Amino acid sequence: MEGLISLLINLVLPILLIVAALITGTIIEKRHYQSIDKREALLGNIVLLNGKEYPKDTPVANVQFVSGSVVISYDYFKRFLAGLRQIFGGEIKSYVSLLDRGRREAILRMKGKCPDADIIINLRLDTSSISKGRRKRGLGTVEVFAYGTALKFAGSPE
Amino acid sequence: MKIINKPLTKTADISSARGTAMKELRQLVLFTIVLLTVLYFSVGLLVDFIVSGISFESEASLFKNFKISKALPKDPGENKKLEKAKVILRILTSGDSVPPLPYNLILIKKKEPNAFAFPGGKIGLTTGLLDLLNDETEIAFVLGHELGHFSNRDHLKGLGRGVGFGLAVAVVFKPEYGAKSFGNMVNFVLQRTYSQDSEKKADHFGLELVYSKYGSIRGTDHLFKILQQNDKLPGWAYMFSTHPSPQKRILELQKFGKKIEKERTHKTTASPIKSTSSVSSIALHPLNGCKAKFVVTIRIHRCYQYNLDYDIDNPVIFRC
Repeated sequence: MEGLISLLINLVLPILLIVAALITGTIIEKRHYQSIDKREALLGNIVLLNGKEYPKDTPVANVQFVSGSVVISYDYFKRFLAGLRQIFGGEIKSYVSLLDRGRREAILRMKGKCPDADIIINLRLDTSSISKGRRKRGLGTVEVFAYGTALKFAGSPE
Repeated sequence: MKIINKPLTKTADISSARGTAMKELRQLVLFTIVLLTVLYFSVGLLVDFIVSGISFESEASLFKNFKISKALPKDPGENKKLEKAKVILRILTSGDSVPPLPYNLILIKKKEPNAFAFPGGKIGLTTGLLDLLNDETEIAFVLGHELGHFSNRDHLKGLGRGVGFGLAVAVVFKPEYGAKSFGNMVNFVLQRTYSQDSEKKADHFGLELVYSKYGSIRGTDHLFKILQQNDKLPGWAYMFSTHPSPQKRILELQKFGKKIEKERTHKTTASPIKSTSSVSSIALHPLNGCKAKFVVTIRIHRCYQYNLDYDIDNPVIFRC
């Protein structure tokens, strides 16, 4: 009985945790990407520029500061892969997709606040990890904040 | 300045890591297993080297004050079986085949039948195990098995490997990442594979010792037969157990027992005692607690040792 409990704690539970995180994490990521693809196609008409310049030949009808943010967390599986990658070095691919989703989601949320805008200039993206707890054990969450200036040109369709 | 808004294409997906999780997992798990296996065997070699440098005298003095949790007081009442086991231990440890350590039997309050070899010569028997043991050879085999661990230094090697590999995993894997549990998982599996091998060797030692002292191995597998009857673990679970399954141990004991008997018979016929040899010692040990029965150990020139069961009521040597 003792052997079985030891087997359960040392081998079965960690494997189950990793497999469960792999399944749920993959499903969540897949659905998120599907949603991102769909909304990017819908809001694709809003041009994004990270410069301060904009076409001056058309008068601007409306201007507005817009922002969008998202707090996103890694799952146990991603953390597991990142932990192994830290030993050997190289690109932590499991975190790349996480941050990519965060950035795109933040931009989409920002765009969502001004669906009628023609252009967003001076786009900035800030990334920060939040809640660095004791002994550097953070919550494993990252906030991506996107902000810019939305312009609506005069005469453009509503 | 003119801006032409082009429709989004596939290139809009800036992530290079989308859907690469499984490939990443396969690659990293393979690398880590290779790394941990190399680490494990390096630690094992280092520990074996260090242990080989520790003499039995040093071990005895180092672990003189080694305390065992759950150990019952030295005199836990009138426990006849424990007293019997102490007598058997004295019989087993008399001779050169057992390492010179200050052996001591300790009773541990635990229901699960188990026995332990602790550093410094302490042998722990659980109350659950003692309840199951009846026959003299059964007790002798259990003690012989633990003496096998002392002979092979398994208790020190196991301790060293556990500490050494635990340290190595702690250094390689940072505690805040789940990957550390993977290191512990590999450690768990490798330790068990090593432990099963040690148990097998200790079984062989115990069997040889019982045979050399009692001239028979009858009843040595009786405990495992009881354990097999009460065994609730599925067969696959023994892959991750510190001990082989009772069934496997019974088969191995029977196989090795036959080998010992064959070898001893062959040795006796192949090299008869020279006529010039003289008996150098005769020792009598009470058998099964019965004063009328003895195990007669005859030693000749420290080279040959014979164990004969002798019954006073029926004064014919009936077993050799």
